[in-house]
Amino acid sequence: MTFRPTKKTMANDNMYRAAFERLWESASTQAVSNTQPGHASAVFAVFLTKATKRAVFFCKELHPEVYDDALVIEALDGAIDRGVSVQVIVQEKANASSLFASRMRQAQACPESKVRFEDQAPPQVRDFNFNFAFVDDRGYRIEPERDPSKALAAANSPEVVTELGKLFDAVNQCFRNASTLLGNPH
Amino acid sequence: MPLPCWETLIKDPATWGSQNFVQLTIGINLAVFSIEKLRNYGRLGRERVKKSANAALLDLQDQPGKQQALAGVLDSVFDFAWRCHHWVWQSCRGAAYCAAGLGFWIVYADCKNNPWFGALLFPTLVYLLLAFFSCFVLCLGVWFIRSIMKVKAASVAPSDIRQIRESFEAQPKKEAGNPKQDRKSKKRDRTQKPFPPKEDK
Repeated sequence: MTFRPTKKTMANDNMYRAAFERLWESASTQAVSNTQPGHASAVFAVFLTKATKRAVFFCKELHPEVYDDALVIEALDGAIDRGVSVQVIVQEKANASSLFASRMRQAQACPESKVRFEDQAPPQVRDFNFNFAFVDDRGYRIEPERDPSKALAAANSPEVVTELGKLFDAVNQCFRNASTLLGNPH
Repeated sequence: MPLPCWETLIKDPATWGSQNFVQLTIGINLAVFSIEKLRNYGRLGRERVKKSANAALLDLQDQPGKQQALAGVLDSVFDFAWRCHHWVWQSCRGAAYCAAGLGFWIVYADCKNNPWFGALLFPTLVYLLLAFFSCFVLCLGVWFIRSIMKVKAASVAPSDIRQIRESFEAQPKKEAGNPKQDRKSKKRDRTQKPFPPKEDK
């Protein structure tokens, strides 16, 4: 469940989301601070709402305050319905109560789905200390060294997103190799 | 003595039109060309300021405590400045075009005493002043956030991500390796242990 301590926080999150949407509309290349959980969910909601082809998430765990936000879930449903390729790799085992995980698994079960959800990463991937997400060839959010105080997001940075795409491919490849060795091809 | 051109315009528009058609066409075209050029530069500058203001606001909103509260105030100020800019542009654009066109023609036709000159040029000046003022408010806000409050997100370059990927790609090979090769090497190790290389005497 989403935890919202006060109305003030909600108002701030909505304001942040509106400002980030303006950043997206103006295709601004500037990176902005994105340290608070509510703000991370605001950015993810914008990403999933605006995604046209691909939305990628790589994280240690699906923090409910971020991923189970009502707006994020709504945006995720919308993205899946639009046929966006949503790919999520979670290093730890996803919590059974995670709404985001259950939505992803549900969508993945559909044969025509472009959705991919993996959790419980192999050790090589599990040790990787860097959370990131990106959408199409535009927006990204990164959390270097898994330190929330260093997290930042941008609405339009194709060069960084290209590199993040290569990074995700490398992580994905590692995941697949490990799964094949374990006799569990994805 | 011929009448001043603006009196001819009022009393005999047909004659005025036939006499000044070429000049007026040239004047209006020059005016539109100049305004469009200015407008284009203005638009680029305005978009840049708008993006900076937005990014600065997001950085501020993400800070804890009082800075976050200030973000709300600044958001309202930015919003007001932006609405003001938009309203001024929408309301004065037509008048600014007309004024500039006629202004060109008046200068061209040496009708500097025309009372319309000031009246028509006024909206242009008001527009320019207010438009610049609203952009100035935005710039001031950005400067305040970035310099006085020292709030700005760190930036990331593509090379940083490349470096992370390269170190990641190097790591699994080192740690996981190829299981078959690992087994062989362990085997070799076992066979080598009982027969350590002889030391040269």
